[in-house]
Amino acid sequence: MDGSKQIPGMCITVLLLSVKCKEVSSREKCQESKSLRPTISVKKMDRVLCPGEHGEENGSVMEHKTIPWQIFPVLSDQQSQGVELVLAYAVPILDKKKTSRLVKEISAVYPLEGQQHLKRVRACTDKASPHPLEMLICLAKPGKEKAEGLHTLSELLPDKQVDCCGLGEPFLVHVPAHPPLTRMQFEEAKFHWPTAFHEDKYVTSALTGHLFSKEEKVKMQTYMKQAIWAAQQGAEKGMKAIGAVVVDPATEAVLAVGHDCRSSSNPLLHATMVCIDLVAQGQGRGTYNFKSHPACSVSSLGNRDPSASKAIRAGTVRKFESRDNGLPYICTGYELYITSEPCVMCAMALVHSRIQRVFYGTASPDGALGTKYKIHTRQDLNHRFEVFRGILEDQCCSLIKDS
Amino acid sequence: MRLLRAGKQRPSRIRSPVCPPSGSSPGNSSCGPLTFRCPLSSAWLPACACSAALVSRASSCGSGMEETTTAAVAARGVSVSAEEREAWMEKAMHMAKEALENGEVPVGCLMVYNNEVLAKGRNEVNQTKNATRHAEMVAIDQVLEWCHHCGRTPTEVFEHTVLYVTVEPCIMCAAALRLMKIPLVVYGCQNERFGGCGSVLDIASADLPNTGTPFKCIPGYRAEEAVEMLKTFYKQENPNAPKSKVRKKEGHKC
Repeated sequence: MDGSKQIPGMCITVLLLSVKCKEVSSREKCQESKSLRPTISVKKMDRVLCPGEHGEENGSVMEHKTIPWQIFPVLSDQQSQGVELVLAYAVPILDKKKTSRLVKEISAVYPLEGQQHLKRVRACTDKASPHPLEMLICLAKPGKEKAEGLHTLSELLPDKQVDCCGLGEPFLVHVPAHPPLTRMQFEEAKFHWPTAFHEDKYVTSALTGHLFSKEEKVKMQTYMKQAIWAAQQGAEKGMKAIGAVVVDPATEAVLAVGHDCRSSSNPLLHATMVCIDLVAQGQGRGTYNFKSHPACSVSSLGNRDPSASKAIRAGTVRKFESRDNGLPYICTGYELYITSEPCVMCAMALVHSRIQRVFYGTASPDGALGTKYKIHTRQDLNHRFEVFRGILEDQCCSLIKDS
Repeated sequence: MRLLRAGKQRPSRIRSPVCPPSGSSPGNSSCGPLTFRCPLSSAWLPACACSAALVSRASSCGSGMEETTTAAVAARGVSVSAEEREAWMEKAMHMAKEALENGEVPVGCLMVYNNEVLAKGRNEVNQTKNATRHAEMVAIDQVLEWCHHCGRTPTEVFEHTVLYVTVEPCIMCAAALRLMKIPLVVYGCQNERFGGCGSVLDIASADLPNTGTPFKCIPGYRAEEAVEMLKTFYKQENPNAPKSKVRKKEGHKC
């Protein structure tokens, strides 16, 4: 399976890209966020601060401080890898006037199915070139050219369907094998051959750091600070210094705060597993008893009045797998803030729990949300979610180092 | 190819893979340490296992199985004869059948240490509202509980414990089994949707130096029968439920 052996590198370099994001008008941006991210637009409306949130702190931080960290989306390999190239036959167009006829005829013979992103004709980049245009004919068969030499035009177009008058001799050229998914891939791809690009503005704004407003980043920082606090509480009791909180973005309520509780008596109580069980406890169930860990807590808001939660949901597009009590199914729609990247077990637990987003501070050596695997992007699993890295990364990193 | 189709397309129409149909497994099943000496003893609690995974096809590992079916298998810390494996998997299949007859996800799961059953896991996702309560996870907790009661060191016990389960453990459970350092897992059919022993990812043997130790797998024991049971189970599931848009032919791990 392709995801099983991955390059540990993430998609950070992409940020260096100069992107035209700023050209996107604010109106477009607004539409984008409405269609793709209903939860964010909703949560700005008529916010009443929930207990446990630090309203004043939010305000002051927002006005006086800059955000000292950067947030990076952890994208799939397809989105973050470099452009794969394949060899193709191209041919010079000697007589410019015949271009449209040639494109029509050659497209009929070689429709370039599966390569719709490739433009058929390119202008010659070299001004000194004797011919103004070049046209793509078909993909070359890998290895065959080496063995048999280049095909001639009459070999490529043997059946006289195309009047080859006006064409030069074919040559090989590298073309992008797949449609570009990010602007960086597009910039790289079009360097080799003109390529169509249907930009996903959401991905672009995530990559350029424009996805979240400053106000949102301040809130995210508050949640991560709570996770760091939990990690410190756990560390004081001899636990591994990893903390996490679960947030319902629709209400901005912190539903659960937990820290790593692994010990010889239960080595599997990682912070994520603790939080998942705490959410279950907030829904009236759950499995474990965390009484000996007072920093692991469930917010009463997790047990909110079903009618209230319905009212909150009215303006959102989100669909909950609502159960009889009006609460969402497990962690549907919730966000996890965690100081360290989850391991394989925890990452898959988040898939099973239907988490919506995970924000982690710093990467882990065997991490499964970017480092060793990208479990959240796998098309062959039944649930996918967004992952971002970098909130208070330095602090999260030093938690691990200090412990 | 976007990060997520938040709010646009949710998996909500998909019948929950972590959730057996309601009505299954009510009540407080005993979670405590259970000890059953003989794999063929008859006093089994009904429906005690259900790590379910609907599986699209029987294990394709048949050829790999042949060489192991007749021989004793030694994995780090344990050695199990073919007869033992046969007997325990028979028991696991029996548990799965019983679960099916009781309207529960038909999966059997046993943890065996020194020829003694320390745990019989069954899926507890619905009753705990915790999607991680797969049969294997429940069984691990039962063994931990047993260790606690008997004053044994968990590491020492798990390193000599074999998991017998009728369906390939999911990615999460496979990682948990690594973390517990279980040396050997014997299972029936593959879990095409979530399998962590090769079907989706191979966590069992992956190079993850900070995630416990790899474990050996013996797949394919009466795989077709295990798949058939799962298919039967999912066929009788709520006929009004919308069909899963994704992989209708397959099922899911519970």
